[in-house]
Amino acid sequence: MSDFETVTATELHTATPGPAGAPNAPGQPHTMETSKPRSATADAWRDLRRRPLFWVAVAIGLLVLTITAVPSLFTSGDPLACSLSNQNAGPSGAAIFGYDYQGCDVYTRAIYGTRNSMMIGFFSALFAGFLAIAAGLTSGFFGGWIDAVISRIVDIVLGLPLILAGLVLMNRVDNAGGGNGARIAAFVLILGGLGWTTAARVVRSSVITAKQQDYVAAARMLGAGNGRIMWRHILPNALAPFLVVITIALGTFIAAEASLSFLGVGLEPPAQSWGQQISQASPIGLVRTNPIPLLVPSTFLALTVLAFIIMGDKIREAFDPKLR
Amino acid sequence: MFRYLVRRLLQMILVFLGTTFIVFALMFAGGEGDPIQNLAGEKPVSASQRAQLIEKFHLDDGFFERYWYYLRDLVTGNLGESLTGRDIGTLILDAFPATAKLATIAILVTIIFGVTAGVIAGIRRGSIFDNSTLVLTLVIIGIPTVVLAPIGQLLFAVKFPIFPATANNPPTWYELILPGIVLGLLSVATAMRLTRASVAENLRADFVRTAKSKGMPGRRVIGVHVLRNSLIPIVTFIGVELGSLMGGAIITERVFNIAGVGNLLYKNLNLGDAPVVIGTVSVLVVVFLVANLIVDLLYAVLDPRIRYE
Repeated sequence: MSDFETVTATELHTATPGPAGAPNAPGQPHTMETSKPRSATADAWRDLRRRPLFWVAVAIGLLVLTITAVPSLFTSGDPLACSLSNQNAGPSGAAIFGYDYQGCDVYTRAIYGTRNSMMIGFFSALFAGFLAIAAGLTSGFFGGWIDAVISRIVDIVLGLPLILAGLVLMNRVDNAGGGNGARIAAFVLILGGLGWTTAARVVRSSVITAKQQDYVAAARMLGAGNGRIMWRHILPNALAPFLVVITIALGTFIAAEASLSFLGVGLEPPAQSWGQQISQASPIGLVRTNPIPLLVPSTFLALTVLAFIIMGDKIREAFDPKLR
Repeated sequence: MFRYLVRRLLQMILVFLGTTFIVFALMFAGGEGDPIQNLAGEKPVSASQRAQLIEKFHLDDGFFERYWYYLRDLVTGNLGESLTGRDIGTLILDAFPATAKLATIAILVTIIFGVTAGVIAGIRRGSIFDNSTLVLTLVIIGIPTVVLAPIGQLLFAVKFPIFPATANNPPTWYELILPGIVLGLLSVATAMRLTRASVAENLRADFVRTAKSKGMPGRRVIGVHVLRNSLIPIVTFIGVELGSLMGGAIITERVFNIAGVGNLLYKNLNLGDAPVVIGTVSVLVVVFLVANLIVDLLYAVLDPRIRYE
């Protein structure tokens, strides 16, 4: 198969007769080389490059990733070094946002909370993406009863609201005990397992559209198997809309982890996460005396979620020819 | 239409069975301590009391038998008793008005701000108003409720005490305004974007050009031809949103201490009262499914071009 493809590719480059009825006449063979037709992806990228908001979002995303990888680069403090003598102390040289009710350094805690929040969000999105591609590709490609079964499963999972079902499920994990490693794994399985449906529907509809294209029929006539057609010819078409949905889902998962930790079913100290910090700082009595421990992790969380949602939104705008 | 209705109902029953089964399985599967000892607290439970409670809650029966009992009770509207002996239906009914009021305020906020802003932005595409609301809605969509609720409380109940910070039980409408706005903000943003896109699309439609070219005044073109067609997706969005708001209010109800369905669920999860949790979640899922069904049917009423065969 690959022989065939390379041959046609080289043939096209050397001979350049163009497909039958193509606009370039044989008299002017050079025009085609200079104005190389751009692919939809290249078009979208050209559009994306000129959007400042996209770059702001990318910068925030990279910053957060750096914090995730090496938190000690951003603070020399220890998130667990708390001393009640510092209770609610104001900002100082040692702690730029001051201390919380327990006398912990607010800024250092938020920095060290990044890793767990991001890891849960990232791996949940990875897991959800894997499920979505597997389900969407199979149901869209094979159709028939396979499609019916998978679509009904999607309906059922979609009938379970993320926070509601996540709360019940994480509560089970909480009651079972277990360390924070197990809790992170549980978060990934639960959030990914509940949040893959929208992406699966997107993949399925792109697969159905691509399946009916002529080049798929051509590939099949040339003897390509199902696996090859799925991976080489159909999946690339579904990739752009899929990436948009999964980027936005990444933001949603980070927010969902925070919401569930806020409701008290997430990670337990000494593990840190933004949701847990917001939860600890949000009782109204504490907010009245010192709102900073609430504001700092909230800002971290909101900016991160916002960055991923903006990224997804801008990529979608770039890929949508109607909005261009 | 009838065939579609039947098919849609069958689908709903399947989804209902699936979701309730998952919730039931997760709440009951695996060990969760001893529910009877949980109920009694520190007090010792005598053997006869234990036997009686086991009998009453079918604790000795197999998993599928218990699921069957639960399903039968749910369909007949009998949600059973909590582990503390209170009727679950009454518990939910007591908590329901607060959540319903909260959802009403959220939906009103959505309609008043979201749809209005969306119509203006859609008519004046590319204007300053359009661009600034687009960025603003993006920011709102990006900020999770878990941030929005405590910060809203901090700003408008502590720093500038316009609204009360927490609600009494039962809450008054005034106490629910701030939480309602917080809850509704997310839908405001989505509704605004949806309205804007659909108004902009309809403005370019052939029937609008026809109406304009036969000399119809602009106000009538917008008010009758554009709006009526643009509102179809909005109505469906609000319907679905109403269903999910019921369950989505857990965080808002926690922060503002509102004795609604979300708070009931939260409280009983922490108490380990599985019957109440399952009953509440089942009711919420049913509300969500029914809202979706009604929306699907409304589609056909609002838009005569849609025919279900």
